[in-house]
Amino acid sequence: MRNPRGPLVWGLIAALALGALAFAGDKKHKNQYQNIEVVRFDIKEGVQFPADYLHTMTEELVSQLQQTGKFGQVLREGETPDKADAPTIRLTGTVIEFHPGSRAKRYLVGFGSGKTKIVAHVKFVDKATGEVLYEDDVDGKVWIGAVGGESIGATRGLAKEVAKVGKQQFF
Amino acid sequence: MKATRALWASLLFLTSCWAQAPPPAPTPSPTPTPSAPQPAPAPERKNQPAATPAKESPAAPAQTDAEDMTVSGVFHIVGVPGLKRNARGDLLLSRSDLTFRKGNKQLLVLPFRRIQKVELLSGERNYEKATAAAAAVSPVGAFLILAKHKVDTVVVEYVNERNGKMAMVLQLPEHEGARCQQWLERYGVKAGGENPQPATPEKK
Repeated sequence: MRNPRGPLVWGLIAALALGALAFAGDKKHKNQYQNIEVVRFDIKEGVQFPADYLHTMTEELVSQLQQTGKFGQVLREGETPDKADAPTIRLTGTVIEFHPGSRAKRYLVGFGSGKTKIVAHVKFVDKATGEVLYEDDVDGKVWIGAVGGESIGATRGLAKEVAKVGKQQFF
Repeated sequence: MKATRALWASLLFLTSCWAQAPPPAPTPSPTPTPSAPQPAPAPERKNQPAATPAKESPAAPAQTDAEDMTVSGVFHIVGVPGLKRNARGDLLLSRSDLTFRKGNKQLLVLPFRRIQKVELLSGERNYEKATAAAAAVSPVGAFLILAKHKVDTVVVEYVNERNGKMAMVLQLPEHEGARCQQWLERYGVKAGGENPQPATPEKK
């Protein structure tokens, strides 16, 4: 009689092996970089993203990355690090989607109505070599808050998400 | 009966909020008179970068004597270290620098030589606290969220001491943004924007 557990065991071993390989690949960049430089994001053509939101988002990115406590220095575009040869990540991105939402709808209607959403395609790049270390789409949303929540708060949500991704990928 | 009284109280409160004055006027200082060729500031602001530099405008005689300019009731959005969003303060413009002050404390002093660009946008603010208070009195008060007042959103792009690019975003009482921009342009600060649009676009 054929042992039903045989294929199951082999499948489990194969899954574990694949997982280990993936984990090893991710681990390649772990604890390799000391600093991160934040560059102002671009805006995809056709996306109406206000200038004040863009600048607010940049400042929020710097703030949230500093709050992770993982990077030695969080640099702004144009700043030079204390140690010139310290491995540095360059964070760039493009805002690809923006829904301004409506505070009044969030407050008066609720249930996700009037949600503000910002989606950006972010790239973590090795500043020295230009190699793209990681890239993904991240978003920030406001769907609830005090008196509906401020729409510009979506920039902080996106920044927190970026900081979380950065921490997971590189530490 | 109690419900009727509460309703009347909330309606009276709403009426008083609608009738309330706009944000406090800034410290009086000489206002430059725009020259004839200059475009109207209000429509210009909504979809265009700020008006072209008013170098040719006939300055009022008292203007050249003014040492500084103060705008009160300024909302901070981002850019002043350690200051929360929506904190209120004053903006002081001298002949050489820009200062954001909260009470008697100068939180940020920015020399004009470090300012790269100043962009002027139109914006709106809700009556957040009044809405919360009105809604606490009566559910009808929540509709105060529909009321907004116009503000001027000013984006100041500058470099810090380490040559890093930074930006400060402030919301000024309506029409004060244009005055500030004219003051800055007079002392050599570049004005305008590359991608002009309303500061807070309405959901379509």
